[in-house]
Amino acid sequence: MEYPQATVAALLLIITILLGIAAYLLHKVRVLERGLRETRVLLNNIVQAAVHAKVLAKKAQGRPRKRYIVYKIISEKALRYSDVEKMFRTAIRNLYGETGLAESRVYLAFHEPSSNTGVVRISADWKDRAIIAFSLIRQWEGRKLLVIPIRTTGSIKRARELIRSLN
Amino acid sequence: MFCDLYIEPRSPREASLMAEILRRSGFRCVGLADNSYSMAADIFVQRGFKVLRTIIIEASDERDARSRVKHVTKDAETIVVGRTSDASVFRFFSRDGRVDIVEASRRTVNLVDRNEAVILRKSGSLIGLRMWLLLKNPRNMAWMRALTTRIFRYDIPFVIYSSAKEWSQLWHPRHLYSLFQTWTGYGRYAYLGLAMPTYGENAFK
Repeated sequence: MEYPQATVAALLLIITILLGIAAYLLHKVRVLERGLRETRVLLNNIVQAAVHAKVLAKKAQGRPRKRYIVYKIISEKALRYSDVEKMFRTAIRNLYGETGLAESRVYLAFHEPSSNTGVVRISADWKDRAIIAFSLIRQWEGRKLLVIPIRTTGSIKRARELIRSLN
Repeated sequence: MFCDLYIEPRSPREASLMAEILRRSGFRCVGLADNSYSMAADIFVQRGFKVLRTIIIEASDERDARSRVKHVTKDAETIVVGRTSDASVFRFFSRDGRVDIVEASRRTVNLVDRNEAVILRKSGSLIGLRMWLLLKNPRNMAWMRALTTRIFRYDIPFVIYSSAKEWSQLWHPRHLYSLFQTWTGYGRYAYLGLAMPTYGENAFK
């Protein structure tokens, strides 16, 4: 059976058109796939950045900045390290309570009994509040005294240098 | 240079110790209580201080206050401080130009307002903050903080003094800086309260 030429041509044309549509659709699918892939990568980056920020924030929370207060105690006699530490902790506890004592992270770095000078480490946010607490210490175990804050530094090295220059 | 406008050393030895500590803390002017003046003035002058005489007038009613103020002998280097818990006496002290400093207390904090600021500016007086009250009972911190807030809100001139009887009751300027920094956020304003008064014919005005 012979097919007329026109019919063949029409069939070829239809097949060509269909192939063209298929190719177009395939191209579109590939574009969509690429878009999806890129979106997935972007979302992944966003999530990672958020997690990283959270970790940083937690890290920042977990390690607060410290300040070192160089002090001199004017007293009738030399004070021991244990006395001074107890004195400072009691002062903060009396004024701000147990939570204040915990938040302030007060720690007596060192104390020289001969000159009654020393360095106390405190959380940066608590610097002024700690000085207020220390200013209210006027006697210890029946002996009069006065705590004078000389300088506040950000590093223990500078604090020690200051103590050396004072002594 | 700072000024502690009211201290009351009990003995010459105490005065000597107080003078040394005040000098090292940057103070160059003191106001001695009337009963300590004759005993301690020379000790402070020898150490280079400017010495003023501070007279405290305490009264619980207006008539008594008027009578006491009338009998005060004032000269260029005398400071008169009015101390009371009564509202009418507080206003009287604020209005009267012979009273240089009006000391606020827990009961008179609420009287420190815009009207008080106008009255004080007119009479040339100041509000006094007595730091010894904080040592006596740290619970006084609440109303002292409220008072400081009012002083700054209404722009009232003020002065800080220790009212110390012993060397261990003195206040270092750094202590006051931290107090004001915590109370108001402006620590340096504490130094305004410690500033030296002007001299001349009228020591305080």
